[in-house]
Amino acid sequence: MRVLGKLLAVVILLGAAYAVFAWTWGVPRVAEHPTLTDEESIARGRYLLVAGDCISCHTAPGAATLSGGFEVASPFGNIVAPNITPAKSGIAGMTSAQFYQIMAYGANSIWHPLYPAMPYTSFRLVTREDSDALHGYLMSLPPVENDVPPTSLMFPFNIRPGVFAWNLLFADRGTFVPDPAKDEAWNRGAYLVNGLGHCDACHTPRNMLMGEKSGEALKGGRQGAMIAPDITADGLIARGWTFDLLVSYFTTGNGPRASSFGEMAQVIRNTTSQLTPEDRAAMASYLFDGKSAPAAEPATDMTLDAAVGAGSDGKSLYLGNCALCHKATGEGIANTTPPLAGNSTVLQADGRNLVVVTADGLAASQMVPGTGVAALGPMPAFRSRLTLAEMTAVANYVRTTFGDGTVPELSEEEVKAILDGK
Amino acid sequence: MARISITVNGTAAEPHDVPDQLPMVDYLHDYLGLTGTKFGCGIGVCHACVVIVDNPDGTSETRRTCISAASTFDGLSVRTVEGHAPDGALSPVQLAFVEHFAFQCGYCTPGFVNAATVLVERLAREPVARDAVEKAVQDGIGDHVCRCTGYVRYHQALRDYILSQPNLVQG
Repeated sequence: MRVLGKLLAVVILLGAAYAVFAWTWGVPRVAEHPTLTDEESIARGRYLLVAGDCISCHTAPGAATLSGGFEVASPFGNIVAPNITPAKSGIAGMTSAQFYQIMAYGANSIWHPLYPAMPYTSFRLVTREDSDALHGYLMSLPPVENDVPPTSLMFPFNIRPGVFAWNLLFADRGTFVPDPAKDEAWNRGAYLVNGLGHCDACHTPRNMLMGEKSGEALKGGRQGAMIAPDITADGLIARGWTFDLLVSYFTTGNGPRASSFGEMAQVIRNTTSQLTPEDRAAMASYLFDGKSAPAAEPATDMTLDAAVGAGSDGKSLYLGNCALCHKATGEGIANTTPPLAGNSTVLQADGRNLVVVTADGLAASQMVPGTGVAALGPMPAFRSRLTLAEMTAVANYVRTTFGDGTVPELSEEEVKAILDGK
Repeated sequence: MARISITVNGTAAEPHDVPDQLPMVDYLHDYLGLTGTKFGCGIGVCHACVVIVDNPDGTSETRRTCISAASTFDGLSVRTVEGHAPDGALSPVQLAFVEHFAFQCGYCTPGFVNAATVLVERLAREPVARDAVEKAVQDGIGDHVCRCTGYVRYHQALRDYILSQPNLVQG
């Protein structure tokens, strides 16, 4: 009985200590500002909402814009994005200070901190001024009542206040500090890429507890079976990207290096294509950081005879299954089928996205329409049509023939692991 | 070049040496004289060129012949639109399309007939609930394009036929 009493005392003490920690560190006080209602601020807020791609997560398929209900998958269960229209079931009555606490710290209450599916780990860089404009815009919207189901994660992740411990470990707290050694465009790009744009949310690898690995910013992160590729300057340059190609990709989602698919197609549609040309250029300035490729651009007019080290199996498989659309030369069909020659996805060392797309195909809706056409042709799925050996042979043929000679050969074991989603 | 042997509509075609990239639809037209399979968009979107591939395990699947080379059909058993009325009597799916006046110019019809047949045969093996028929029809022929806009009648024809057959639906 006495042991039990001591144990209880220890638990109470620890609980009290944690409550103090959550109260003082978890939810810092911030000053109250009046809700902005002037037209200029609201217009700016609307633009910032686009730059932050709030709509993609805060809108369920078919539901009213920003009325919540979209489920973000996590290893610990699905996290339901809330309704952020100013409705009773949304954010009615939320002050600009509470809004900023959520943007910067992920919590405006010690009982109900948000899970880091909300990228407050990036949004902390958003200035208070911009946060207030976003708040003003959201408050100016018509309220849409939509009670979304609560998020229920597995134990112990369902104990919300535990998030503060995660925040202590993985969420930085600093605000955005411009680098005086860099120009204005670079700083604007850094603000957009690392702040509202939250590019790191997908492109930075994460640890077992879903914290972003330090020192590996933007070096490529797993997204389900696929990878959001390395978008550091070195990573981009290694795969043939240039400043101009990247800016044009942000605008159209297509180009000689890549055609966006999956979640990036959504990012292009909802965000980058709608930013100002200056902001797109700023993001590319920051990502390239003044570097450019010293070597010649990857060849885009490879001929079949130039294939080095490709097995004849891979070649005939390519000709039979792929070449009718992607063409024997890998040039594709303009505005219809993406080129494979010079394609940066082909140049990804791990081959993951190439193999996943070959196996599972892409619906037209998973891509951004090419210039002047309704949609790119859909990519058929080959998972049930090619054996593991054939899949490996055709992937290696494509990588060898249309790559730049630097991509390593894939083994059947590697391809099998990718096909199994590992 | 590749040497291929394909069984088409139950008959093994003589082996042919074909270029690796010869589209299957061209092989059917030019080597076998079977011109019922239609070439439409050429990029795998419109599904006019769909044929049936019969698997050894008794299941079947559709394949687009404009984006797949004949070489990828080597050793397979294929059905084309010519194979549905061997004795001149239309198949139930064909009859349903005729009775509903589903098509006008008929260019897309071979693809619809093949895809609808694969669906009907699958339902005979694995019937679905009546309220799942609409989705099954959409999944089965929803990707097929008809430029005289016969969609509604194609879908009505197939749905009505499936619902009228006790062995295709549960309950």
